[in-house]
Amino acid sequence: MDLRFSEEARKLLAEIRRENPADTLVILIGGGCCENTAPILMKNFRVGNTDRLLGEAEGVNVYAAAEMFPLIERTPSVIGVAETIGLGSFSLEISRGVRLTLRPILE
Amino acid sequence: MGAVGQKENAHFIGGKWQESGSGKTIDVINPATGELLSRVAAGNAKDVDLAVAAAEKAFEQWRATSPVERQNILLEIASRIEKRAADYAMLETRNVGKPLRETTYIDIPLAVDHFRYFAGVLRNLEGHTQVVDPSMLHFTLREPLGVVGLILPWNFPLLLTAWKLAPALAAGNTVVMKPAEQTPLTALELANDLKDLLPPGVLNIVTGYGPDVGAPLASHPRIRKVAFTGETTTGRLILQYASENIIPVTLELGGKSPHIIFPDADIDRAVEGVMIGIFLNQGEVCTAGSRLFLHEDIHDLFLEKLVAKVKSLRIGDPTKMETQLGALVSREQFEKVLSYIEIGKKEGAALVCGGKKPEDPSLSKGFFLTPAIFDRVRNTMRIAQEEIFGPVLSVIPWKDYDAMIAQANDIAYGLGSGLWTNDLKKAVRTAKALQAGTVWINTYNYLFAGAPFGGYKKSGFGREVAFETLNHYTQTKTLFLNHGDQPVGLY
Repeated sequence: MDLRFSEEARKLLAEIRRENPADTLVILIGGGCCENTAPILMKNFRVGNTDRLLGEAEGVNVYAAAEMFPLIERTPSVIGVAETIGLGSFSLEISRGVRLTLRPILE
Repeated sequence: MGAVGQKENAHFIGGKWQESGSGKTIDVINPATGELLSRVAAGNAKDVDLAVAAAEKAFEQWRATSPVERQNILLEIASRIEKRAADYAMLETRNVGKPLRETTYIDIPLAVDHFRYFAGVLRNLEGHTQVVDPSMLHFTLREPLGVVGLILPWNFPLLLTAWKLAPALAAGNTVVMKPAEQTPLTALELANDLKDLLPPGVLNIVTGYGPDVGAPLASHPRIRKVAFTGETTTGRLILQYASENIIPVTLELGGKSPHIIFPDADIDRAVEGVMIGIFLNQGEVCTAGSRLFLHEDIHDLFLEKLVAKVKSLRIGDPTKMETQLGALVSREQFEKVLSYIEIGKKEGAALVCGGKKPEDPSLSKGFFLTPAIFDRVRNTMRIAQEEIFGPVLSVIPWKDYDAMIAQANDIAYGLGSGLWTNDLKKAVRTAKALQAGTVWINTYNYLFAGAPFGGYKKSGFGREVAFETLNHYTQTKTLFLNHGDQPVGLY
């Protein structure tokens, strides 16, 4: 799919990558409830057999959960960074006062 | 500032406010005005350790309390919330952005009622007895698990505190709770109100971010159960942690609920039901009836009435009792919902109304959005498949019953569902066909303590708000009692 990363997102991922040299970092896009469709950056998460690879940046693979893949893959999208207060997410970047976002590229 | 008794930069651990080891705080913002409400501690793994240790220390004493003692304490919790119901309602409204009429008439009274419900049913927490043979009896005890971790979402902060805390305490467990970092104020206020009621360490609250507090709590080796409401990826992560500790988990992970209108429905009542389904709490509800399956025969009339009513909704300052639609909880949530408006248009759905910032300049600092209705949505579209968690309704016209049911169930989730018809047979047949934990018939989003709440499919597992919830917070011990005189004779 056409998955791009903003410069801010690349910088953020590289920074978190450097801080966690021994860990496997992945982003999994799931859905539902308060976070809904959102990238969740985790360390040492066991990716499942049905999760589908969408892309990669700074050594971080991005997957979509099986039910999300057919929805997301048809929309060109960009992973970016928003300055925001956390809303309960376990995504690793959240304690920096920022949140990774997934937005459609609507050209 | 925010909660009356809450000390800034402090967790509630061991019955008192304890400063966070991190020294860092999180700004808690009023989403309707952008004003700073309070600052709470940005906790870390050490704070979680302290809280778990306090809860462990308290467990032996708490588990030994009699059901009568626990019942009285839960009843007193309910009374204390009720006495200050107006304060709690206003605090919740300012913290979440939801209308005061909702916190006053739904969130806070239901929280009170849930404590009363579990105060009552804990007296029915019984084992069973069997005569095995003339010299042997067996009987069972329902015992608490120990320290349980409760991880809460931001949309119904005090109500979902009650959903998880009441059964946990009723069953004799002690608790470490993590509220969502943006909406912790009513939970902290409750802890302060219960300081002299609960023995120290029975309830502990650690505030902070998910990776710093939620993950250390969910993966803590001395936690005996985790209850979580949130999104699916975090649910999977919590299950992975639980697989290492081999502990039970209950998960409530959202939905994309079908709401079905049959042509014989009472249209005016159904229109209001649809609005309760999708616009309550700005649509920030896991059971939001976000996919409206509207029969072609009444499509135009129904939509005309619905749109007229939706356009008359009073959006604005949530602290005013007449306001019907408040602010979305954060800028990020607001922007995400807006992006779905664009996705819906791009996919070819017809935006009938809403989906914009209101023109009223007095609302410019808050995250307000006019309620949106998309018509001619196909069930495969992203706006029909993904939980938007905002005031966005997708109308899917239908004519063929079997095809409609197949589409209603063609979704990863299975939390809520609803249908409107005056045909009893049709209602029951459809309710049985729907893959969802709750089916509302001629009503929607109705909650009642005692009515089990939980999901099918990827909406999670476990049932809250009901007697069976106590099973999730207890374990069974089987006792055999030999009261005979004869040896077994095997050796």
